[in-house]
Amino acid sequence: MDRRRRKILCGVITLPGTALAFSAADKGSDLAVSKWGSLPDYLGKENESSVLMGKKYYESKVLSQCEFQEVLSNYYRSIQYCQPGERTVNIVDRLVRDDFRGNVVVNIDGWVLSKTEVALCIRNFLQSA
Amino acid sequence: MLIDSGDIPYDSVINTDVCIVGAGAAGITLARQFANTNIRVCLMESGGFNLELPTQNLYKGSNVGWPYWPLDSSRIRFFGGTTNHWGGNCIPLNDDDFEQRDWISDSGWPISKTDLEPYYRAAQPVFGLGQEGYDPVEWQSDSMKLLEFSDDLITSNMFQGCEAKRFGAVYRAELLASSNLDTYLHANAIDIQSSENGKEIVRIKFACLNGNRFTVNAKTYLLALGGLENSRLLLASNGVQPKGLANGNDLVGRYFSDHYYFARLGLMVVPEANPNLNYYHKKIRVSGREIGLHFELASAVKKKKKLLSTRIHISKVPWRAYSHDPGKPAINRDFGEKVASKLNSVWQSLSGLEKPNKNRPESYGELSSANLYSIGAWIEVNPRKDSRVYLNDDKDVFGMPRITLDWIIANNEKRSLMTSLNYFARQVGANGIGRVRLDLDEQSPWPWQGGGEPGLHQMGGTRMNDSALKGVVDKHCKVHGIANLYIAGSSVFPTFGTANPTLTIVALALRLADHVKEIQSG
Repeated sequence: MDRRRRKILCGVITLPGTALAFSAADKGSDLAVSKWGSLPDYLGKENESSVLMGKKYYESKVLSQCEFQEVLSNYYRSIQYCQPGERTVNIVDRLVRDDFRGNVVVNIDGWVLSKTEVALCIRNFLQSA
Repeated sequence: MLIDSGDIPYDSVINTDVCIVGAGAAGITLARQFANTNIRVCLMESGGFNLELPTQNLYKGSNVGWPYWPLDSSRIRFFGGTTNHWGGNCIPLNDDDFEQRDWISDSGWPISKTDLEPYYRAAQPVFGLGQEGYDPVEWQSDSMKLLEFSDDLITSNMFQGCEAKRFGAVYRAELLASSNLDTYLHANAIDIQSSENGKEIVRIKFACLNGNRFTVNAKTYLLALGGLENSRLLLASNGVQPKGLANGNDLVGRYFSDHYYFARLGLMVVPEANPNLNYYHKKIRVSGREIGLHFELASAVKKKKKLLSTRIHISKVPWRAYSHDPGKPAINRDFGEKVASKLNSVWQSLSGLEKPNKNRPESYGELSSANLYSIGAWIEVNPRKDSRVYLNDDKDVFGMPRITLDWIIANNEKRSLMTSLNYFARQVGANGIGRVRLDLDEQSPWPWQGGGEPGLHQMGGTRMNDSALKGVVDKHCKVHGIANLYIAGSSVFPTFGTANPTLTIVALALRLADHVKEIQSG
């Protein structure tokens, strides 16, 4: 584990308590981290494929811890209180669209992205780190 | 009758009812309205029927403002005028382009879109177009569906492509066959002379490159020289008024603008080929007509956010071409491909929450250019008094001062463009169409160098306003304070919108012709 990754992991510990608390609410057993597959790199320079997207998001500080927790809390609440039978991916899709409508967006290297999708990517990164 | 001005006797005096100076879109349209009436008309054209460099060189001038094309190549000086290099896209101004918008200084026309509607309709056949309107909803069919935005913040708008776009070639025979109309070639207007009190034009002096000179005396004079040259001729005609004809209030040449097109403002990645997007990135044929679609912010959004108009276009551009555009910020050549595949991964991650959903985009198309679009935009420019055309010390072969163009675009335009693009980006996300990357941000240099160019839509300089203190011409295009001088063309536009101006130029010319006919008939 290199120094950079250790540093990030130290930060992780203080991060999304709420998110982790709610993680059990994720629907279905296919939510295991391994199911997410390998995390993508993102906007990295050539030959920097090891730069993970989540890490990029994380380090870019586009979301404060508070925002991150708030967005993820909203996500987990939505999972928890969704309509019976509603699929998680549809819930995420709805949340993401609502973000765009409500201007709950972040700009990362020019990309206009929903905070929910960014938070999920960060969570993804954190869980796999 | 066709007359080469170089062949008529030196110092001739030609008497007529109406003298139209300039045979471009406006001048030819005006002339056609008088054809085969009992009104005697002279149509005066500087060039011949083809491009002649000595004549074209008369357009030379200098630029000191926002980047612009060389003045002698940004317009065409022979029969047909600038329609000789026009792309043929017809689109009316929007309703709100005519309105006074309190967040845009000096905005608004003294006429409304409603006033011009009959003439817009009458202009359609001039371009060989039918009576179909410009609401893209009405053009929808099984073979063409608009992209739907759920929140009514983004609308689709359109232009119609015309076949009859080279007015000189299309209308030459008709004009030459008209018994009451004389067409003079190689006739360069060099001086408009007014009565001593400056309230009436008594003659216009013409010169030819072969040395010939002559005069036209008319009851009514219609200037149709184009967005730059109308101002130049008025400013240079300073025999009675030292600051130039009709320039008592120092307005001639001011409030100049063009549209500016930014070709590379960002890109849009869509998860899967969206058939409706295919109607937006190129001209398409619908019901036998050629049209093009683009996006605009809804009028209510522009009002709420106090924005200028922005016309957003998308076009398919291969990643390689995109990443190699020298005007773009430096990125590595595989950047776009990486982004495409990474966004793909984002959604794969999200989809991975459950088993793959067939209705959920699982791929952003890998490296397929079918799902990648570059984003460009035409921007509206704020009318500015200091954005202007003025005479400089250089002179052409007739001794007529050349012009300097000082076109101004400032941060207001940048703010409007960025805000409009952000709305577009959010709506693309909100409607599940894809994701947008914007290359222009607050730190970006301005002028933005990402593939931009002026639209060759020269407007302003003799703007229309009810008050002589704020405009050169009134709502009938009559020059304030001068009984028999009118101006046709885009130089009268007081506010510019984003629409290609030719359709509006022709509609205004049709309206002006009606007005002059009324006056001529007493």
